[in-house]
Amino acid sequence: MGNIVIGILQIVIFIALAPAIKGFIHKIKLNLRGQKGPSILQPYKDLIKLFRKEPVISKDASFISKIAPIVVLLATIISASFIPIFSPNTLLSFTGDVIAFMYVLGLSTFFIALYGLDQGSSFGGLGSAREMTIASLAEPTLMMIMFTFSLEYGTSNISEIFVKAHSHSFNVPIAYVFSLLALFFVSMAENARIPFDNPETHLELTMVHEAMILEASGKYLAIFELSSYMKLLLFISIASNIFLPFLYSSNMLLNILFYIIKVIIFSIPIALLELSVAKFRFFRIPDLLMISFALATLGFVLYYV
Amino acid sequence: MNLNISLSEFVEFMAALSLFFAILQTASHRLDFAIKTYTAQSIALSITMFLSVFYYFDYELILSAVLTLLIKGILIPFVMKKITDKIVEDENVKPFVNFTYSVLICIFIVIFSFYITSNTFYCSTDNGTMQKVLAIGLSIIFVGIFLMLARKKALIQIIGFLTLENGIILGATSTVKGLPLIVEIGVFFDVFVGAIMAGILIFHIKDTLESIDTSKLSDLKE
Repeated sequence: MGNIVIGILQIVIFIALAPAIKGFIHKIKLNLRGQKGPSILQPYKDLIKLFRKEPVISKDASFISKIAPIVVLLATIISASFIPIFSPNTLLSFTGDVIAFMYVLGLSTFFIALYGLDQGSSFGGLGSAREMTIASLAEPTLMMIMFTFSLEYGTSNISEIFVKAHSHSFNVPIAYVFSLLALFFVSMAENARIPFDNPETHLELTMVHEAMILEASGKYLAIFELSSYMKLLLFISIASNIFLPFLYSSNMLLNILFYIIKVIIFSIPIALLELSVAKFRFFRIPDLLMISFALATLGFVLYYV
Repeated sequence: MNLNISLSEFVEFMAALSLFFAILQTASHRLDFAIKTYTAQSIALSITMFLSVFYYFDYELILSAVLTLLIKGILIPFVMKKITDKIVEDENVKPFVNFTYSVLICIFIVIFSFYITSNTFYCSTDNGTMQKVLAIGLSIIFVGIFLMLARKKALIQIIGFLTLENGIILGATSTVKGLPLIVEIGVFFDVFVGAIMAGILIFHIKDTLESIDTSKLSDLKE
């Protein structure tokens, strides 16, 4: 019973923290550019405002447009409930492993793409095509990283990986370094951030993620935004729990604090990368993703000998 | 949770980093980026050699490491940069095999090298570190050969050759504790003079063909 309460608490903290991290990354970027920028709490205000409004749906849209936002939100929450936030007792730790986690997350990507196609606008289809290209190229890298950890800890269950990562010493730090770099690239690709997509612009030639949800409004837009914030935090959580297994105590409250510190540590490089690199041409994206695949494979292959 | 990175792991890491930079070269679109990656690769190589000193307790390797750093990390990139600056042409690397496929082929090369070295070589003293370094050295050799075959520009073919050279040195360090010093110094000057001569050749190619694209070498001229 206590485990279920802890599991639910983890999800609640996760959802509550997600918009703040988005605001935090945005704030760092603007501050480093010499601008003041909105407060960290701005995404919450946006979400509340959008949730109050009623959605407008195109008359050509089918039932997909009605169910897609809910499926996306649910898929993101379910995949979040695999991930240990501050305790290994996650809500779904008894079932499912890294592979289930990744394919549930893939379901949300798929339904966003369907939503983009369903509305019948030309930008939506364009965004969906691009998103699926990037997602399909990013997937093998993510699998390779997860296989590396499954090999390292002898299990594919995320909670067990979490427990073992916090009790063992590093066996092969080389694999860790390469996997971390690969995970960094992949999470930028999956979350439509700068070398792959610019989340701040609505320029029709370049946008990927924004093009798909261009037709969304009101509640549905709020749900899509919340899911994308959560997805970003999901990747940061994976990185902070697996690659930075320090700062872990038996005290639950202290662990929440440590978790937030780790998340902040991992969001700073994202902001710095977005400041220093311009968005890549779309046809260079496969190169970049292939390099991240090479990194992941390099980490994986070092186990071979 | 205790972090214990041993020396052998650090040696592996630097060697693997050097392999990663070699793979990054095959994905580079521009000549100056390829030269920068070559510099990074050579520096990683020299750090690997320097750390191998504490692994083998063979102090001749220090001299080799310093020479690698000086010649391959500083001198050759400088010469290459001079050549690129003088030949004012478009900086793009023209590929026979495109960049995405190149990286994919390099991944297969790495897996292949790890496969063929897996059973052949066991050193009694270490737990497979030098075996991994040998596999990495072999991968760098193959990646260098692939780079020479898959690019049209003469300059990047030279970089491919130099990459191959780095791979040979890494392989030698891992198997026979480095080449004898005399041989090594000879090899270094050979490579250096080779790079300069290749540069001169590039000037000649540029003069006669008005391009350093080697695929145009077989075009007929009056």
